[in-house]
Amino acid sequence: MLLPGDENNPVLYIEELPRFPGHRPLRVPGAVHVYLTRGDRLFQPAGGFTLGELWLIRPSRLYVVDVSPHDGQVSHDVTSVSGAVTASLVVTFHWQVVDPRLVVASHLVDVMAVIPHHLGAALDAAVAGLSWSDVAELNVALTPGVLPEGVRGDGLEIFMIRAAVVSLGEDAPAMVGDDA
Amino acid sequence: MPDDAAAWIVAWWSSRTADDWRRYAWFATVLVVLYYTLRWAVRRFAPWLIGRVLTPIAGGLVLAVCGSLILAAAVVALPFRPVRVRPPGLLFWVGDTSAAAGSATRRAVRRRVGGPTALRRTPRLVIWALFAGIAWAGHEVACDQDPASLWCTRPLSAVTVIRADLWESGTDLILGRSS
Repeated sequence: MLLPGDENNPVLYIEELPRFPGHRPLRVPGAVHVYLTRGDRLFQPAGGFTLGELWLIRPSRLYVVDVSPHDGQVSHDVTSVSGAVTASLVVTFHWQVVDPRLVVASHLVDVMAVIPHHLGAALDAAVAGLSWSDVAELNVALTPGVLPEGVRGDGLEIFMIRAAVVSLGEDAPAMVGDDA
Repeated sequence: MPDDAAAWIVAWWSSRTADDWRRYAWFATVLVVLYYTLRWAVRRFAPWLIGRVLTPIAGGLVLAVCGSLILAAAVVALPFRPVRVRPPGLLFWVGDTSAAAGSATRRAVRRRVGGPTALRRTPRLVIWALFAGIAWAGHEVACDQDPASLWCTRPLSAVTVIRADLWESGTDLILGRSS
């Protein structure tokens, strides 16, 4: 079953396998094969199953999971410790599937449904250790050493995290002046 | 010269007895029956034997070998799985190639089930040549085994002897052995 083209879906396609397949499923560069066998067990054999193993182990379904790195970008709001200032960050990062079996088992079809959660928690923890009272201080404080090296969760790894401040909560009243 | 040949033919023709003509008729009958038998064997029996018997048997053997190779490659690959190491590419190649060979064999067997079509259109001349070759080979074998035998010295007369033997055995079978 060919799934709709979606760069946020790590499962490229799903294939129902016959009892005695006549050939191995095609290899996709940058993707791995995850097989569903009896008892709802998932296998991710290195290099995929040989044809004889397909006959012996009898997987019923094949998931082709993309494990190549992808770019991503999300917005995240952080609040100062005092709670007086809120800043909006644009966070760029790379994500990659590191546990294809967990991705299949959790029916993960949209990484952007889980990445903001993991990334936001990591950013909040990182920013919580900083002392800043305005955007300028936050911009200076957001050095690569402050941001987490990588975040793991739900079979994904998020790495090469970069963040930039795009606005301050204090600037919001500027929108009000347009009505006057 | 033509007069001599005509005289020889007339002399030969007039010297034939009724028993001679019966022998010639029998010889011609045997010749025709053997020719048609050989033609049936070449044009009908051989394609059936090849297409319906030998080809499926050979195909079955090939499929059995391919299946065994596929399973053997799988068994050899199994020890690599617990240590999460990719098995050698040769094992994948053996499985893929065996499956391709098996599929090709199945297609070939289905396509060749009618036997070689060339045999069904064997020309009469080839049948006659084959017939003559078999007769000549039989004659040579008879001469090797027993140079004094009738099949070696006078093979055409041997056909008549066979007729006499068959007639005797046939009448014995139906009427009972004469005392």
